[in-house]
Order: sequence, then C-alpha cells, then structure tokens
Amino acid sequence: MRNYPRKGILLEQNKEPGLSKEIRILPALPVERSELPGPVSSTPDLLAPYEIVSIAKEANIVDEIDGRRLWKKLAQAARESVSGIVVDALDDEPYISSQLAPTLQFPEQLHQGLRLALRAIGASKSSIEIYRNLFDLDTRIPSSIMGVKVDRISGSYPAESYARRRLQRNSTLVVGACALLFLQRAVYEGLRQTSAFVTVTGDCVANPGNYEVPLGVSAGALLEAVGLITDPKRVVAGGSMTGFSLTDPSTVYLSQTTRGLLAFAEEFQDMGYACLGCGRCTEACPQGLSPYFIYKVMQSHRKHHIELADADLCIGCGSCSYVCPAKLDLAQVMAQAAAYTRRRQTAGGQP
Amino acid sequence: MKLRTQNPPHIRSRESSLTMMTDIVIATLPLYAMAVYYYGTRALLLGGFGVIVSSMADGACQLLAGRIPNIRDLSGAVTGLLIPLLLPASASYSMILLAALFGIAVAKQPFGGMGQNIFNPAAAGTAFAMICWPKSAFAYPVPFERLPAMVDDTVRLVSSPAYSLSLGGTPNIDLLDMLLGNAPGPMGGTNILVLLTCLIFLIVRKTVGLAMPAAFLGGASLMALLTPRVDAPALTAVAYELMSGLLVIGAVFLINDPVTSPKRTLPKIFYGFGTGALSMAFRHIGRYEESFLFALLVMNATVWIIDVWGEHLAHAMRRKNREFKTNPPVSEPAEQDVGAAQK
Amino acid sequence: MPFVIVPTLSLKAGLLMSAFLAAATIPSAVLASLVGRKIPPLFSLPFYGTVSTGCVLLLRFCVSGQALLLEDLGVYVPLAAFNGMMLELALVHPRRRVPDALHDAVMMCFGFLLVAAFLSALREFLGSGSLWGVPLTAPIRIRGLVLPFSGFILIGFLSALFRRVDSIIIGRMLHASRRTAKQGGDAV
Repeated sequence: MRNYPRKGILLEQNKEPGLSKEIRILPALPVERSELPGPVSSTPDLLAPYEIVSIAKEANIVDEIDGRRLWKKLAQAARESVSGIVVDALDDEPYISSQLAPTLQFPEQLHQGLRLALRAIGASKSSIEIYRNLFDLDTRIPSSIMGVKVDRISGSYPAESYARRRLQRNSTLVVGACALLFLQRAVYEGLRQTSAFVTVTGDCVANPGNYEVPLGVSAGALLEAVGLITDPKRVVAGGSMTGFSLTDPSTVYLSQTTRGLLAFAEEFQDMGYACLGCGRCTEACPQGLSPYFIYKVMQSHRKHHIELADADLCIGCGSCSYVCPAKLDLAQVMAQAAAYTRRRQTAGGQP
Repeated sequence: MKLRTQNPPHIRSRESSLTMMTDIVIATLPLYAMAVYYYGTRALLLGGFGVIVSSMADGACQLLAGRIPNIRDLSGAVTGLLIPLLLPASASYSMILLAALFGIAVAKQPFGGMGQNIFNPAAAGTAFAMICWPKSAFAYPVPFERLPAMVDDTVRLVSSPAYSLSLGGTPNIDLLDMLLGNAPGPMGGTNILVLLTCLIFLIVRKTVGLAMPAAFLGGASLMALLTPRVDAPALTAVAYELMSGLLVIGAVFLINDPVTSPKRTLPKIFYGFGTGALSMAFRHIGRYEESFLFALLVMNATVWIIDVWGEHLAHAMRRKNREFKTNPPVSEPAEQDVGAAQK
Repeated sequence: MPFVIVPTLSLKAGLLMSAFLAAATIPSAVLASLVGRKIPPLFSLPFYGTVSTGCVLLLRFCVSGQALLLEDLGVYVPLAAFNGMMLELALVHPRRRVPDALHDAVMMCFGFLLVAAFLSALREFLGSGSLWGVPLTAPIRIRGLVLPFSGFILIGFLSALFRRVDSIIIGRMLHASRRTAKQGGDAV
C-alpha cells in the first residue's frame, strides 16, 4: 500500500451504481468486429515478443491512460528493459470507473493480456493498482486477481498522475487495464480495437453504468442510447475533474481516452464572489504551489514574483478550483500562469 | 439541450464564501446571547444597527466604484456584527456608526473591497472609535445592570480589569468571574468560556485553522510570562493578561480573518506569534489600556511581505525536490527500431 | 504635503500657514525672474533660501502677537522657508518674465490656501467643535480628525473627489465637442 500525496483533496467517489453493474454493449450502438489478417495463433503463450508487438500494432490498440499506442509503449519498454508492469486501474476521479469495472468483471482476460504484455517486454513482475479510498462501493475489491497482487493506493486526489510518474521513474511500465483487455482480444480472438469502455453517469442519466461503445460514436448518440431522465444542464466528456464541457454533444466524438461521459442537472450559479484569501487552494495543491499567490500576481500587472511561484510545476489536477469557496476558476489561471512561466523560461533559455 | 459550459473541474466542494461567513455569523450569536443576558436587549440593537450600517456602506461604496453592489457574501454583515462586540455595551450609536463607516469606507473599500483589503475592517473601525472617544470607549457598564436603549447619565460606568492592569495593580475580580464573563469589559470580550467554545466550533467546521489562534495566544502568553505587570504568581498573571481586554476575542475572530492573514502554515505561525507579542508589548508602552487592535493593524500591513517570504521558503524547498516532481520527458521510439524489433 | 496636513488643525492656523508659504514663495519667484540669470547655479539655492527666510521672518515678526497660533504651527514656520514650491519656482523662473512668475507663484499659493482652508475648517468644525475660535456644536464630533493620520485620509478622499469632478467636467467637454462635430461644426 503506497501512500501518495498527503495534500490534495479527498473526494466522494460516487462510483455506484455504475460500478457494480455489468458492462454492456448498447443495442443501438453495436460494436463492429474487425478481424486481423492472418490466422489466430493457437498457442498464444508461445508467441515471440516481436509478434505480440506487431499484433498490437495491427490492432491499433491505444492505451487509454495517455493516448499512446500500446505497441510503441511495449517496444520502448522492451528496449529499456523495464523490470515489470503495473496495471493502472486507479480511477481516482469521482464518477469514473471505466478501468475498474472491466478489471473486476473480466479478470481472466486481464490476466491473459497481462501475461502477453510481460512476454512482450521480457519482464516478470506485475501488479494491479486500484485506488484505496473508495468507500461507497457495493462490490468488494479483492486483494489479488488471478494471482496478480492488487495494490491499494491510498492518498488524496490526484493519485493517478503521481502513481504514473513515480512508477515511470522506477523503470516500470504503466499500462491501462482496458488496453490489456484489447491486447488479449487481439491475440486470442484476432480482433482489432474498435470500441472503448466509457462510464456514462450523472444525475440525468437513466441507466448509469459502464458501457462498451464503438469508437467514433458521438456523445449525443451515446446519451440518447443510454437514456436521459431529464434534460441535462451540463454534459462533460472525460473525467469529472479534468474533462471538458460540451455545448453540442452530437458533434463530439468519443475516443479511446474519453473514459467518461457525465450529464448533470445542476448548473453552478455565478455568485460573483471575490477571492477571500482563505488559503484553501494553497493547502490543497498537491505540488505545494500557492494558487492564491499566483492568482494575485497574474491579476496584477507586475509579474516579477512569478518565477518564485514555480507555476510550471502545475499538473492541472483542478484541486485548487475544487476547494475554492469563492468558486473562482483557479485551474484556468494556473494553466495560464504555467504557460506564461514556460514561455518565459524558453525565452530566457533556462531549463 | 441547452447546455452551459464550465471550466474543469466539474464538481466543486460544497463550501462557499457564504457558508464560511455564515459560520462566523453563527459563532457571534452566542456572544450576543450572553451580552443580552448581562446587559439587556441594547446589545441586540447595537448589533443590528452595526449590520445595517456596514452592509449599506459596503453596497454604497461598491456602487461608487462603478460595480454592482454585491453584499451576498455577508462580509459587511460580519464587520457590523464584530464592531459592537469590541466596544462597551454602553457605546453610543454614533460610535458604532463611525466605526462601521470608517472600517468599510476607509479601511476596506478604497483598497479594493472584499478580498483585497489590507487591514481588518472591524479592527480599523474600532481603533478609530477608540481614538475619537478615548474615554467612552473604555468605560464599561456593570454586568447584570440592564441598559436602556439610549444611554444617558444614569448608567453607571466603571473601568475594566485591563485598566487596573495598565496601572500595575491586580484587578479585584476573581479569575472565575472573568472566565464566565461576569466582569466589566468589551461586550463580547469578557465571555472567555463562550469565546473558546466558538473557536472550537469554527475549527471543527474548518472555517479557521488551529495554527494562528494558538500561535497568537502563545505569543501573548510568552510575553506576559516574561514581562508580567502584576505582582502575582506567573500563571495567574498570564491568566489575567489574557482574559482582560480583547485578546481572546481577537484570537477567535480578528486574527483569523482570511483576507488579512498569511496563507501558508509557517507564515501563519510567525504572524500569530508576532501579533501576540506585539500586542503585549503595546500594553506596556501604549497609551490606551487595550492596544491589541493597533498591534493587529501594524501586523496586517506586513502580511504580504510575510507571504512573499513564505513563497521564497516554499520555492527553496521545492527546488530541492524539483526532479522528483517534474514530468519525465516522453520519448517516442523511432520507426527503424521497431522494424528491427520485428525481425 | 506635510504642510497642509499636520499644522492645519484650525482655520486660523491653516490661513496663517498659507500666509507663511506665500511669503516664502512669491518674493523668491519674482526675484528669480528679475535677477535670476545673473546668479550662478552654485549660489542660487543659498540666495533664494536667504531671501525667503528673510520674508518669513518678517511675517513672523508681524504676527508675533499670536503666540498660541505660532506655537501650533511649531517647526513648520522655519520649514516653510525651504518649501518645494519655492525651490521649483526659483529654478524654473530665471528664464521667464515677471508677470508669468508672479502669476505662477500666486496661483500655487492660492491653491494651497484653498486646500488648507477647506481641510482646516473641516477638521476644526468636526474635530474640535469650533470655527475660527468660536465654539459651535457640530452634528457629530469626531475627535480623531485632529490626528495627522486622519488628515492624510481626508486628503485622499479630497483628491478622489476632485478627480471625479474633473472627469465629469472633461466628460462634458468631450460630449459638447462631439455634439458640435455631429452638427457639422468646425471641430476637426
């Protein structure tokens, strides 16, 4: 059990009722089967590493945690001879469970995919990472899945980005759980990746849960297929903390990294509060920055303190905006400050 | 679907400026209840008058500055509630009026209004009232004597234990009486027990943190311990000093004002400790029997610099771990290498 | 600015302060425009300083009957001899004609007189409850106004007020010129 940042914020996860329901394919949005050329190997366990990588390349598998192609990650890991693989099923953002649900519902396939990936990179150690602070779940998270140890990561949000960074430093390959499932399908059943796992939830959704949707379907079509109880006021594609708001869901198409589609009935009123100077953002920032300080410096036209504030360390988690009682858009200001600082750094020629 | 866009994150915490200020308003209500118990309904009249004057001044100043008046975050109301608590219950309405007007229209709005003010408006207003009425601001009614709505000469006014301490003598009031509030003093400042309960309430609700009030009271106690003014055992002297005057109510309400205090923990402790020590020092050399407000205003002026020092410190600590936190560079493998791996 | 804030606690004191400043400034300005060119720069400061000190001393002698007032003004009487207005005028005016210099100096001192009179009247009326020494009852008595601190704050509000009035006047002028332009007037 590794602990990640002590700072950051503890969020209510709200993953039920979606997590415990079966993952379904919607009849209105069927997933088309696209078969790979060539026969399916009858002894997948004896495939050579380069064969696994080339099957991953042909199957167009994209890792949902960073959008990179799986075959490139495997090839690079093989070259760098990493010591092991960690399966990322963290899902530390509220409402989203599109990695956790497949992990719990398809353990065998996950295990087979994991073995394939281990062979591809020539490593032997592996573990699965799941967020520890999931309190309101109906299912129990087991302590090991098919013999692979499950690591419960405790700590506040944002734990996922920290986990990823720490593991990449320790020469471990981090792969998303869904990518391994698609790898297993590619090798054992000869199918390309033509779908993705998406959590559709929110208080406007009639059947909240995880769905396997075909790639390229529009958000509007998905919402209609899942069913809406009321007209939502906000539709978010992506995570609840880092996703983006949609104005016209019928023109936004889902990709492998979307992972979530949320529809909320509540809209936030703009009460016009000014910054209180309460300092909650500074307490919440997992990087130890002071969004209050950066906000004040960016608002004033004298930015000579900006280097002091190290705005380029911002990871864009949104904790500062979350805790702000004045409901300021601190995450945007931090992003602007980070861009400003990086521009100044490159202009100044400093690393 | 008529959708609204919003910048991420799309969920927000349930706390808002309004809830924070409401918590502080709730924390002042027991003090008003005790004041009514001791001095009659005049306490409520003063409180209501203060709220009305402060809110209207707030709105008027915002209107003058060309903004739409927004008093929904109750910050003017909090100032209006705090000012009568820092003054005697026999304060005249003109005293409250002037204190509120000065606090809002001179010490808060010209500096930029809510969130940008340097000085605590309640402290500034009350300090100005103390300067303008040096005798009436320190003449307190006796507890349990009901005050009429308009105070005239028939009300008996006495001096508070702080005055006795400033002369170098031990106050002739029992420590237990001072703890319960049965002593002449500022309307909200005497009920020490209730004040400590309000502090615990605010800390539990996470509206304020523990660092600043603890550092403040610690600093004041240390100075009182080192330089006692009364000829009594050390802890008794410290108890007398802390329970007389505005120190405890300052620790609960004035020093925790989020706008005028530093943001990081170490600067907070430094600020609290400095204010405590400074206010005790002012008690020794000051002209008034209670100079905590002036010490607070002086320290308020230094808060931005303390914040910048805190940022320097945080920057130095981050630089040590900078490699730990920066993103590792993402490298894409070249096409030829994969071709080689395939063979 | 300290001249206008610290000693101006009563109307009489304010007027006297302006008188001293005028005595220091106007003769020096006139003298500067008359003979300024002939004085080498090294000696200009002591020269004008001596002149203005002489005038200040003269005035003080004339009003030496008002001991209380002079005590109120205190150290600002000798300080008036070297005030900034005088220095600026003395350095600028050698190049100008006498009527210009006189006009400049008189206008500056008149401006000071206005502000000092207004401030001191306000502070005396509301702060000490009298005007020109005559006790009057003010609607509200703000004893803190006699402090220098309040004087600075009052100056701040006053300048804010004047800026507002200024912007209104400029706004009206702009509006009028636009109107003339729209009516095909001869504004460019």
